[in-house]
Amino acid sequence: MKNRLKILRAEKDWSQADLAERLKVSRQTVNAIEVGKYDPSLPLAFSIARLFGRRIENIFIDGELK
Amino acid sequence: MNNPIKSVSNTEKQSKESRKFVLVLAISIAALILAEATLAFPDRPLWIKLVVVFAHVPFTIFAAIYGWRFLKKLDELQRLIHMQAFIIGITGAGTILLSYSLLMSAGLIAGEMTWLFWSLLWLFYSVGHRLVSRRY
Repeated sequence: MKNRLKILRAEKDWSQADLAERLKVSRQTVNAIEVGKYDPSLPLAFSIARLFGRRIENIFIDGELK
Repeated sequence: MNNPIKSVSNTEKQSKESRKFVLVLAISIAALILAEATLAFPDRPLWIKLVVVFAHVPFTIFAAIYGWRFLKKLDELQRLIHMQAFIIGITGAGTILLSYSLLMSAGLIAGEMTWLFWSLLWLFYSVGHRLVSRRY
């Protein structure tokens, strides 16, 4: 699944490690989500949305939606 | 730059924990093999056999507590990686042991399967963990 996590992180000037620490996950997890190799669980997606003050659908892009 | 990050990141902590887990697993298997080797001789005195058996009780409790705490510390991706590595471990060890047991049934080889199972599980789990981690 595509997402805007990398852009949002860059806007905040956070490194992957910074974001990982805030989300209480590993840097590997943040990287895997950013490159689209791993889709986060719903609770983690909500945590990400909360952290950036956005809705989930503003961060994660549904590829099936046209 | 807004940076409240501590000196040790979650990734470093979890990598360290993963290495510790593999080490605990290796020690467990070594202890089991040692116990098997000790108990395999029928002429061993009973007290030695009892010591070997009861020595595993605190060790088993420690391993169970450590395993549980280890799982609780992992994030969701780390859990997925360990689960996939475990599936690779079980599948790999099971496949080889199936062939091994067939050869044993045919009388072509003789030997103990317990130590082989645990060693293969550890080997395939370690290799599986490395392979799966690389994917993410």
